[in-house]
Amino acid sequence: MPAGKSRASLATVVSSRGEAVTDEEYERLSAVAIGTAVAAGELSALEVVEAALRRIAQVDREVRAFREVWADRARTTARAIDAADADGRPLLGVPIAVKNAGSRQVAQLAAAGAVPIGLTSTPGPGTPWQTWGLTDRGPTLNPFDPELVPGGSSAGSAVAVATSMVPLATGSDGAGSIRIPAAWCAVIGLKPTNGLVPTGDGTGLAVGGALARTSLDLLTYLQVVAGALSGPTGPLRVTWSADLGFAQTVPGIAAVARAALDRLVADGRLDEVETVVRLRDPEPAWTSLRARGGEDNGQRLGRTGEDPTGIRADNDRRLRAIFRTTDLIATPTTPNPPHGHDGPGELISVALTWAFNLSGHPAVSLPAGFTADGLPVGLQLIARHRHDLDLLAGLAG
Amino acid sequence: MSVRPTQQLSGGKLLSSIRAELAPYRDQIAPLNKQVAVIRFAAEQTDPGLWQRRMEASRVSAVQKEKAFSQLGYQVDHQVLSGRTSAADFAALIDRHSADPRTSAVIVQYPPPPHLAPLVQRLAPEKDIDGLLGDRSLQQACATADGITRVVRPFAQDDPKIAVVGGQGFVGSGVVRLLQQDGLRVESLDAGDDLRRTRNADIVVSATGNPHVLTDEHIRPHHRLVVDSGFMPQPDGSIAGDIAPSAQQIPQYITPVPGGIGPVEMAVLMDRIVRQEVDPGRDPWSVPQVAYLSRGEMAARSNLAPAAGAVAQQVNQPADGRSNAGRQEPGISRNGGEQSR
Repeated sequence: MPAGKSRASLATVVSSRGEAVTDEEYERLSAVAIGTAVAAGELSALEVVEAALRRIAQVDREVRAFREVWADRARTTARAIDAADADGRPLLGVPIAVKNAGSRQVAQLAAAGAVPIGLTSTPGPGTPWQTWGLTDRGPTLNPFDPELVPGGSSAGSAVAVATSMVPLATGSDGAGSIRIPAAWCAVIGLKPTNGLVPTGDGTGLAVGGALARTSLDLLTYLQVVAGALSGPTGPLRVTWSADLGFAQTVPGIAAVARAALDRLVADGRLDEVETVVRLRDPEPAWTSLRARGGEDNGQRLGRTGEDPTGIRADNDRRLRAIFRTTDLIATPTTPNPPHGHDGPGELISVALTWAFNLSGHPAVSLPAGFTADGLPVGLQLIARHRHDLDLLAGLAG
Repeated sequence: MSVRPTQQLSGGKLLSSIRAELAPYRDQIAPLNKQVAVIRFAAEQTDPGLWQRRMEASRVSAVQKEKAFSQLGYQVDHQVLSGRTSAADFAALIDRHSADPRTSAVIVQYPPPPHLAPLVQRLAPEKDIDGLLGDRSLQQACATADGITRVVRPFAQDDPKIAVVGGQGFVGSGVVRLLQQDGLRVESLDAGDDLRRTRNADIVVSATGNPHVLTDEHIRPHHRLVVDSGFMPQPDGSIAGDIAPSAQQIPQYITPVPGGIGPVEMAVLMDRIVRQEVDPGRDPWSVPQVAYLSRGEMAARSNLAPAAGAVAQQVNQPADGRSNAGRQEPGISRNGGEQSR
């Protein structure tokens, strides 16, 4: 270890007196805390990577979040960080899990100092529903109930964050694929404004995004992948809808999400306004667009106007009107709790999320609390286009 | 005028008094044929040393709980699980106790292995005597945080500044929440913060589990109370708290380790289960007012300028005679009468 990397201690509570980063300390460290400590020479990137690998060895045998673990590559990257002069990159030495290895956002995160440590699970073949993940060791388990799925398609990324194997993981969201597993695993999942974080998806429905345990980590993520965005200029208004006007939301789920919103309002973080939020069920529009995108790679599809059902344009108009009286819309992230490994049955887990893949609005799922059965529930917030920071600024954690 | 030596607040004496007060309930509880489940995890030989010490602390605490609930007339199902217990097996155990009408309460010793921690949320809220379920719990916080808050209250009648070190942790966050609910001024310190900010406080609560993290750099004679919630078995068999030996004789009052907050936690759990099972109308126990010096009084007695900063800078040496083995050890008593027992 070069001079200057003395690891004098991360303010004494964490990693004091020269001990290596313990599993318990690693579990509590956010991406920003790790990046700051590595940049300050208080933690070694290699020790952090070793802590992540220990944690994966301990936890992933059971939950199966990772399809691949890149131990040697991560160690090499970390050693190079420790050997170089410390720099101020925001994610220096932060182990991250990735959903799509070749994506542009992974390259951006690595350039910001992050250390990709493994590839996370996504759904396997054979089901029309995407709310699960598969590894060659078996399906990914929900950390809160091994008999249930974690959600998907960013299944392993959500589980890797929820079980503190990594503080930050990438995902992508074309109908709710970040927000749904975030909700069902009790982590924060950010779907940015469509187009802000490109994916290979020709329909334009999907956007890259990330999952983390703190909003500060996702603010830092956004800064890295999307650059400067304008933040909120004053207290934000929020309006509540349990069903967007069409979804069949389970009452117990709505109550937990509503209670979480009540706490944000009571804390003075948001001001509640009453607005009628009634959208049309986007299923025909989404399905039509996805089918056409599959045929012609979708490059010529505009954001609106090529939906033969007219639903997309209609919902866009309705959302423009709604966002004239509020800054945020709040809903449950899903209308239903996580389902079993045999599938969701008749439940449409994407009912409350995919409208915003069609409209392109940024959205986040925040941990709202738990059902009476101890299953996590997500609170979804939706903001205006390119107002991604409104989703995170000022929120807890 | 010299300053009094540090007074130790004995949690053991408190627990004895609460135990005596609650003893009559045994006649109501024992015939119910109910049980309390205490679930803890054993370390493997190959686990890291720190984890082994944490699991030893967990064992000590579980044994104390077994004793406390047994004395009230409960049977105790003390389960010792391997850290390699599968999620399915752990979920089944939690579900079995959640559904079993004989089980009055379930306690999972923290920290459980990381792959099992989320499953604790399956616990039936009415059996969550230790406040593990957050806002779904009927309890406002874990028993340790509740006990610490009860110890702090009699020292906090004049709007003092309270520093909570480890304020983002499981116990510390509960302490911060409960004290803020009381309308008290609380500063939460955690990783990344300069812990020397404790010097600005009147009361210091430390709940990091990081042995001897607070030293004579952090603890000052004007601290009227220092609560040490650390409990970490050491390789030599001793138990280390958060407060370093160099600082243990500095404040006016301190909770010792062991024998401080550990027994207080037991007293809270006994209190909670009695109210839950047989006497909902019973008031939670509280700690009476004790005599202490405020910062200003402290400065005056030390013939120093009353400026708080000056006190913090200058009064940093313990008075003589601190090794006095016959030092009085007042209990944290409910009504003051227990000390003679």
